[in-house]
Amino acid sequence: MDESFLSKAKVIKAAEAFVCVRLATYESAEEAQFLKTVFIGRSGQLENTVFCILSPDGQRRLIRAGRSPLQMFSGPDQMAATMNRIAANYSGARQIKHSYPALATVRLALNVAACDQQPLVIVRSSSEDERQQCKSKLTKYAWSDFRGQFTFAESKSDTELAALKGLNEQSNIIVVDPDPYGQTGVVLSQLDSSATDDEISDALNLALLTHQERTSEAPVHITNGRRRGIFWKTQIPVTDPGRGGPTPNERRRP
Amino acid sequence: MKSRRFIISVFLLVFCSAAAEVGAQRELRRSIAWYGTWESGLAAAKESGRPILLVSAAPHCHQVPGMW
Repeated sequence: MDESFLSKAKVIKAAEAFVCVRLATYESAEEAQFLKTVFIGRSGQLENTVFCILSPDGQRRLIRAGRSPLQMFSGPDQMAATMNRIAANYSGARQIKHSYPALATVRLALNVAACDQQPLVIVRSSSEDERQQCKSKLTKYAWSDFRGQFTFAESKSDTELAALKGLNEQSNIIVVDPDPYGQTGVVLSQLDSSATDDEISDALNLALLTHQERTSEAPVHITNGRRRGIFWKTQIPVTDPGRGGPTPNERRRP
Repeated sequence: MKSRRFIISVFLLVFCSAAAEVGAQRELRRSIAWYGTWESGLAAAKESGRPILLVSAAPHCHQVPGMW
């Protein structure tokens, strides 16, 4: 993913007027069908990356769709200016009633957290009510003080959590430091559903201070991953003609 | 008495430094907050009437996870 535009301050600021959706390509057949309606490359197949700005009902493209912002804009400044212009057309939009931004599964969330080099927050309970209680508490942090700094997931069953080290039996809010390949994770903090706002805030701050960022560059990361036999199995077949993504040399750094 | 003041001063200094570090790190890491599923993002967009910034990417590079 080209992060060279999306990590720029002007673009981040402009994005506050939008609902920002980042999907994981090839991880949902349903979402893949939708993505194909937004953009298909020369290959005629769903490619690794898709980028577009859509109307609030998701039906209408407000800019030409492509693989990345790099294809559509001359730079982050132009991207931010375009976003601000589009947002001005929706000046009557309401405040977003945000929900807990969980990814589809803990397995995927661990990987995405590793990709973003962020800690992962998992709500865990077999009780729907208890999960809802925890998600409500965390939602305000996900969209305000700690905006964009954590990946989120939820789990009904401990079988999804077998990859975590240091997990207590009773904890309901779990903050995890993923390994560089997002295959396992070390529990940094864990709280039960009665945790206060201060306790949650402290746990999140602690995670940001102690989280270990990956130090290896893309070629080293990929070479080491291959040597160790670490490969990602997608939910649906990869159809990108590049067979799994850009080479390390093609990647642009933020 | 003086030593107590000194200890309190040192404690406050350490506390303020830690708080400043957390704040600085938070600012450095500030980035776009994403919905991770189409269903949840579309619901928020429909409800609010806001346009959608859509990105999709495969969370692996040459099938190796941990990198977009």
